[in-house]
Amino acid sequence: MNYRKVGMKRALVPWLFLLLPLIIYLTIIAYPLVASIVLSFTEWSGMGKPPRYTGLQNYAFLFSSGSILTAIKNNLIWMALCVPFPAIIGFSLAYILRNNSRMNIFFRSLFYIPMVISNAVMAIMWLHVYAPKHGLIAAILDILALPQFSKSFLTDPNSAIIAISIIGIWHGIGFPLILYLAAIQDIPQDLIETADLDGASTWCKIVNIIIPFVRHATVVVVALGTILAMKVFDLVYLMTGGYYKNDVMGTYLWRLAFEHYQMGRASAVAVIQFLLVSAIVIPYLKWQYRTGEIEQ
Amino acid sequence: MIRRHTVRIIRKLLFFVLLLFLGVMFLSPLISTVLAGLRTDADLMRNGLFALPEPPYLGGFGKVWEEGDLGTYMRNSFIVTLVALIGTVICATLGAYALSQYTFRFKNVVFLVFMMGLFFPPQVYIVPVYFLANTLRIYNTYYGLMAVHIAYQLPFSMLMLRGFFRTIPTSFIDAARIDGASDLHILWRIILPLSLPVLGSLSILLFTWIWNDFFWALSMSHTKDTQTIMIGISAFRGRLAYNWNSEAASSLISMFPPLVIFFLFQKLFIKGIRSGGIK
Repeated sequence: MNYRKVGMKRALVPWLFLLLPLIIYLTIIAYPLVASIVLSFTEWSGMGKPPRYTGLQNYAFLFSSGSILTAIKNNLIWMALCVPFPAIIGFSLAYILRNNSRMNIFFRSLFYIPMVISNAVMAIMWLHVYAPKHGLIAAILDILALPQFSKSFLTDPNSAIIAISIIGIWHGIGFPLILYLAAIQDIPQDLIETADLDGASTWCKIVNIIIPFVRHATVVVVALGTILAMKVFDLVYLMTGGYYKNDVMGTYLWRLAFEHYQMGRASAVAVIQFLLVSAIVIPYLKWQYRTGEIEQ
Repeated sequence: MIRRHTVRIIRKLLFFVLLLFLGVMFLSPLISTVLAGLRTDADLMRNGLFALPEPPYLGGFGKVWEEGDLGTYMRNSFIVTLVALIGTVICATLGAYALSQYTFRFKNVVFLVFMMGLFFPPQVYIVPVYFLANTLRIYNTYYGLMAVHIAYQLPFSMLMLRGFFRTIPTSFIDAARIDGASDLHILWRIILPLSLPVLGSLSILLFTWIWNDFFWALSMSHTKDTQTIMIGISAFRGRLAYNWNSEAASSLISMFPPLVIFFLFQKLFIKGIRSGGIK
């Protein structure tokens, strides 16, 4: 038997297993990703004439009209709220509910529930939280005899993105809670006991033992939160009535493409989004490699 | 002694009450949706959300089911979700097997290319995907929706399975290979039986994510015979007329399947999220 032939055959085996996933993935995600970059240098309505090369005009338009900056700003507001707050709340809850008592397990699952609620349903739920007359907040303000503070949180461009970010926080608590819980429960018990013997206060233990110990979970929570902040779409699309001031990058792109039929400009937004995500992802992946989270 | 004991019980009780209060506050958007689903619109308008319930009104569920044609949307959701789920699990298993048990050229490149899909928002490539689907004539079909879901969920699924496959001792696999087992045989007879819990976790996460998807359904379908339930319930939203009851009732119907699965398999769900630390 020819050994070289056998070796070639063996080398083919992994590619046979990869064939199906690679074809699907390359056609539906990788190829369109590259196509987006190409389209961003063209003008195209999506119908009729083929795309026409226009150089950097789309980018020039985006930055001169400034709406991309508004969209980026809104993504950043979302990020500033939906990264730290779920992490802090999730950590606190994980600390409070760290023992596996029946009561704690029950309360944990209460806080997990929003994770399985879809964005479409959350949009409906929270429209009625924020509704100016009959909404939950209006009702609470009524009970507190402060009805003058009740307003239309979602139509006011100053508060809309913040109001929507609060939904993001609500939805986002479960993930850090799960990760921190696992991390806290992994802390060796004798470490805590030694600290107890030394008469360390609860606060001191949290700051000096627990927080350093769960830093790995913190990196994951912060990195994923930041990446997710770039993906915001559904809630903004569903809860604001198509008003540029409230757009995030995702909805701005979508509306340029499917409401204004400007595929070139939409693709330019995609490229900007792509670059911003890369700026976050590359250092994160490097960290993952360094800590051995991803092994070669 | 006894006094210290009572103090402890009282402290525990206070803690419980405080947590319960927090929990109720936290879930108030959900609770108010449930309440609104059990009251007629007229009743809600007149008496507000918190009035003592008269006999709860259950007609809203039947009404939205008929009016909103929710049966059709639910059927579409079930078909798309289940097929896409199975497709993703099959593709991800094959891919993860190749990436975990073999060494070959460009392995790291392939892995990184898949990882990219994990991070980039779907909006970044939606425009070409939309035109691709039109060209392939799968826009506004089940196939189109299933295909995008499979592709979109592949990176996470492969990463999760690959992580698990690597923990399987190579001695198992070497022993089988010496016995003359084929590559497929090893995957089917050795790796898969060991991976059932992971496949369970993955399937539960995938079911929740695909069922709850709004973006792909919005972009890849536009008629009632393919749209999923998440689009179906959004039709009730934003009408000028006050119809909180219908919105709430349809929302509750749409979230029923993932919620049931979550409560039945909570442990697997949490395990899945944990092992997906790099998501």
